[in-house]
Amino acid sequence: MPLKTTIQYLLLAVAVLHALPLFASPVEIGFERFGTDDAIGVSPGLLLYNELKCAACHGDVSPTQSAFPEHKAPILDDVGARVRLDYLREFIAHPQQVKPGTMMPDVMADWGDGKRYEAADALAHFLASQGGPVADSGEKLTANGYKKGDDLFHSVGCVACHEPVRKAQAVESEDDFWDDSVETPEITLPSVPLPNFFNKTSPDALARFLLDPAAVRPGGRMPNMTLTEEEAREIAHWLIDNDNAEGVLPAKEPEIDPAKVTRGKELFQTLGCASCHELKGTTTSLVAPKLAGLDFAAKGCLAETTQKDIPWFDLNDAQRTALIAAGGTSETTKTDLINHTLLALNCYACHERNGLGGPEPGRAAYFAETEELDLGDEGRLPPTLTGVGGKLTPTWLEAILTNGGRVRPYMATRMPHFGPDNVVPLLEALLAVDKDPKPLAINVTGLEAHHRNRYGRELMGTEGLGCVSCHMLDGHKSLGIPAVDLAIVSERLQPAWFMSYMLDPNSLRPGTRMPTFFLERKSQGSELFGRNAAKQIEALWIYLRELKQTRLPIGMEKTDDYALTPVDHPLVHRTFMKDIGTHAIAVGFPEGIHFAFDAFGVRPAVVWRGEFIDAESAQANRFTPFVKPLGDSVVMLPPGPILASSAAGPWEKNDLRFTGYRLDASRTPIFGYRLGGVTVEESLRPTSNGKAFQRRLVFTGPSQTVFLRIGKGEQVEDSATYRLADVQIEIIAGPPAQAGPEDVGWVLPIEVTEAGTSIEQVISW
Amino acid sequence: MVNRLKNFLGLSMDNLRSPLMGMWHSRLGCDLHRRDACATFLHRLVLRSVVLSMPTRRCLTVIPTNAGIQNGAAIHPCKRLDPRVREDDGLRSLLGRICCCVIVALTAPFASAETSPVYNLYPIPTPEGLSFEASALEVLPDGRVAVGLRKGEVWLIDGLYDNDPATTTFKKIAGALQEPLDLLYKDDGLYLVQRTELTHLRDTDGDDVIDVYRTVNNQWGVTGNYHEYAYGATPSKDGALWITLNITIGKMAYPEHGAWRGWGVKIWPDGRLEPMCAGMRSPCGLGTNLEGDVFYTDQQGNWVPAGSLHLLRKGAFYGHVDSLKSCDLPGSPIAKPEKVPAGIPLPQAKAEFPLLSLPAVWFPYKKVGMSTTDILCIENDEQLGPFKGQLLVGDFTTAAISRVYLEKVNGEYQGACFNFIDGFQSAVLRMDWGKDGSLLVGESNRGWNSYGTKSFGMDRVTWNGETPFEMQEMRLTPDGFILRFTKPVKAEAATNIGSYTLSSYTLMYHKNYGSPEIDTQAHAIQSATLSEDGMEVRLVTDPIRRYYIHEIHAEGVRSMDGEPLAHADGYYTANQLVVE
Repeated sequence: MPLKTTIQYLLLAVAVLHALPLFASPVEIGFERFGTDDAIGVSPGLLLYNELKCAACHGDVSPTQSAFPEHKAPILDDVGARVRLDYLREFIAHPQQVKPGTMMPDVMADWGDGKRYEAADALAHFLASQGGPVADSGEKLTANGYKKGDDLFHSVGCVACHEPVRKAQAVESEDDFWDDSVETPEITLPSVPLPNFFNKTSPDALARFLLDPAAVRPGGRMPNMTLTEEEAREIAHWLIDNDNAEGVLPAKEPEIDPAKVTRGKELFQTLGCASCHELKGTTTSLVAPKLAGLDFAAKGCLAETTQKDIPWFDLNDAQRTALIAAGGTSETTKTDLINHTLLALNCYACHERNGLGGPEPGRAAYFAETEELDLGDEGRLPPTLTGVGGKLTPTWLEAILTNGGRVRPYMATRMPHFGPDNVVPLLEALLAVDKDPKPLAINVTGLEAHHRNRYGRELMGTEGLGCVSCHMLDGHKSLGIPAVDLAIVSERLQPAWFMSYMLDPNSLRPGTRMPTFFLERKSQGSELFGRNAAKQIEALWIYLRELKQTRLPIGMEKTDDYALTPVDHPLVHRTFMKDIGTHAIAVGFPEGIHFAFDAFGVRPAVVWRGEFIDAESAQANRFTPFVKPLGDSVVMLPPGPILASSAAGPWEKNDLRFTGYRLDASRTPIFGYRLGGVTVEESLRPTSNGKAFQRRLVFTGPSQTVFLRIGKGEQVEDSATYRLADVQIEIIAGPPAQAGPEDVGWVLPIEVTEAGTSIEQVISW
Repeated sequence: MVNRLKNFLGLSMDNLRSPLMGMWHSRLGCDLHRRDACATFLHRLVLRSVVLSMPTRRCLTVIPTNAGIQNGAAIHPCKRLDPRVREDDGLRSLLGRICCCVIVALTAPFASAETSPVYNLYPIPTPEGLSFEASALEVLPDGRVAVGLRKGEVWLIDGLYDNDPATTTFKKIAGALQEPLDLLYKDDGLYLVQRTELTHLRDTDGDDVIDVYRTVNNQWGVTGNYHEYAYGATPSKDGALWITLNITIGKMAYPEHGAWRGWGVKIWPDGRLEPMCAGMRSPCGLGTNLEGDVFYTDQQGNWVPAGSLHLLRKGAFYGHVDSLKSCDLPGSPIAKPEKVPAGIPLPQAKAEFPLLSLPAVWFPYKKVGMSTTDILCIENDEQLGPFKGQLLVGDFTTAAISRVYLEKVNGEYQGACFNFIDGFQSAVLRMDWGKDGSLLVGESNRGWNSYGTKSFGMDRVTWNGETPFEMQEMRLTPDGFILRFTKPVKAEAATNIGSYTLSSYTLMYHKNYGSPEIDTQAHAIQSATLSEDGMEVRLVTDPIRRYYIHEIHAEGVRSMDGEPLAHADGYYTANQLVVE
């Protein structure tokens, strides 16, 4: 071989090596993050020992280890229905290459390629025969479905453990300006590996898995994200689509060869597959030596090179060292159990406890509110677990861990559930370790409590502490931001924690936006009980406990009616209006016909009959929703701008500017606007029969011709009446209209004078 | 004296003396800002022991002028939000306090005649059944008070200086406005900023009802997002009016209409809008100092790690990145930066991103308020004490007012903030000086929550002319700080370095909400030297850190009368260092 070619091959080899993923050793996410951190309080080797399932072959189970939640390998019953045969073969033959970071060892590490592929192929045929082939309906999603899949993957919590596919969306902005200019912190921690989903499975099978991961992976390391069927389908389709850049169709599943199935089943039981994986009708015949007294550092799984007939985990030096040093105390404390479980289930990906964990900055950027609600980090980042066993009631804590209880509907990231077997020991340990040494009982019985309910209601409301200013209550919107619903406080929280939190929110939630309402054990917001903090807090507790039987707090109980009704004179109301915009000025008349002027587009924009308008949006609603007319026969008028300096335009966007309005003696607004040197005054008043609007415009300025838009429609023969789409405009004073540009329709030429030129129309509909 | 006080307050002494707790509060409050000696030595002695055992102090009295407010002169404690201060000092202190209470109560009748609170707070009763969400406030040249309500109205109050509900009148003069947040009397009318425009309101027929609503400018973007508040109409020296525009938070109904969100703009007399400076989040307050420079406050949130006070000036960028979108629009004085650093401490952000303009003063979250609002300059020493030229800054959440001392170092404004007056009925939104020098405060907490007993209202603060014992100034020196007090201090305590603690910290520049205090460091005090007039202490300390907030506690300092400071904590923002 010529030297040049050799060098080329060498360079290529170097390039290929470089292209290999960084983590070609198993990724145990707790170990990777905290393996060298003494603060975690468990032996990192022991964590690996448990998570790599060493005991499955070796049978050594120390008392320490037995207390921890068992890591279970995927159950392979019906694996053929969800994993493609080709993928199974490739994965078994080269686990770390096909899925870098996988915990599955290469059980044929020292075998030659021919023998290895023959065995992997047989195993794949055997496994594919278990319920195969992969169900694939071939169904596609709409483009929006894929986008939703993308959004869900990056928001519900997947990327807390797995690698994001795209950059985090800005916390506050929908604009892509962020992505170009703001440096977001990088993700530095490794991710729990994902396979190439397109090669591995079908959208149908993946969706089924996502709906109930525990059916396949009972260890709970992949928790149940509480997805709906539709959401699971969207994520599954998107993940698979994402791994199929060329957009090809999946290859047809190969025919299953019965001979290979028989051979595969034999290998499955002799190679140790059955030691870790459950599969009906198989038992392992592999017996590994007990670890006690074994020189496992030199030989066996922990050796630095592959050994004959020994599984090869591709461990890195840190992992090997940790495993060699693995040891446990003879007694397992509840604290050990907590520490270990939080690492094994990667609770630290989202939660902090005692200063450890919480999302790293690069990942925290993906935690968002479901929509922008101005709740700050408390609206998007999961709560601390410090003292959680003393905060939540046992029932609530159990509900969260086993059913994914949710009290924060505004948080996009969901609390998943892990399966009762995996978390019940944790639950018990948390309750015991975090138990308040001085539990507090609030007497909720008797007449006294009854009165305290009443006081509690007063305290909750706007004339007391004003809790309802921010907090939702039993599904009722707060008066401001939608902070956590307080209705289930007494079911959810322990009284002692509630008391401490109310007294000093910062001490239990550093940085919280919840103000401190009690200082020096004195209330800042209410005189009740002589400002006594404990008494006020107890009253709140009792009120919340009895909420269902009592009235809503003052401020939340709706007593106001914001519908405006003009009675003696016209009413003017500025608000945001649907289809008109943010500069709407609605004018209502006692005659029962009304219109709205668009002060930005500069035009009368809409007319209607009946009820006028609801003022709640502009007068009391923090979120200023766009409102519609309350009445009926709502008819839009032609678009603006309504005035141009020539018949040809410009009619799209010009210099027409709103200049305000004045109220005449009848309190009717007379609107003003200006185009260059021409000022216009415009008023709409009900006609004498009260059924239509009489519109009057006065043009003043240096002598020139300007053009007023009438709109697209037909001229009623031999008249000055124009039928537009929904309205009829009759010119009762002014020049005849002429045809303007096609998309503008009829226009009226106005001869402007210094003395003022007036035009009158009747708008009927 | 008793009778005079009685008449002045319009209350019977029975009310003042009961219930017991209320009375104790009043006595305590009285003592703290008393210049002259108490009537009885015993009373004074006991009060002092109470004061010394209390981690916080009372500084003001709430005078009810409304029959609806219950009997007695209830006193709100000063809110010290420092989380280190805990309510429980242990049994000894508790017992001490109980004993003291009893003794104070017993001795109070002998002393009460001689004492009075420095600041009296009068809730202004507002019309029954009307949500008097006072979000805009302007005292007219004749002393009447124009008040904008968030529901979209303007009311005129006459006769409120007499504290007599019977002679105070309210008249609605304008309506159909959308969330007016500032008023300015100028050009024979009222300039009013509402969500979508700057409007000039005028009464042309002399009936005190507005009949002309002239749109001065409506060319800033309003997409329909709730957060798009607009503030200002604050005159600048050149004749233009400053307006500040909240950043959009969340969904935009009309994204194409988002021009100049997060910007400060000038509106010229001809109605032209000139974009000036960017990076604002919630620039809820504007105000002018004695030199005529205009400042604004911003509120903690994304890109704004704490409440802040900035000098408004052309071309400045104050931090909120979303505002940079408008750099592409014609007329922008700021070129869009290619990269914005994020997730780093402020000093580093300033170094890497010189465009970033840091505030003259940071208001550490919960230590000095939680959401800054209006700015009002103290025009003379007759208004609230010897604080001429300093700025009052309102706070929404804590229903309080802080005080800001500014100095120029290397040509740039910077300085310190101090807690000052609290106990208002609701979120402090707007402030103005009444014609008699009293402080008028407009309040509304809709949308968030606040301290106080109501969700809206108005208060009036009067000063009795006695000097409160406060830290008047905190000035930077090459090797530490000079603290100036409002009264001469006792040399022994003032020169004891143990009377002070100093620490410094900075904040994060990032898109997260707010920021924890980071890189906190204690500064040793090397020496404390008292000035000849006994009013100033020069502290030589460990080196001052540039771009850090320096938090001083002078708990040990005593006036010549032995009083402790009403507020012993101050927070200095050191963007510039003094070089010898």
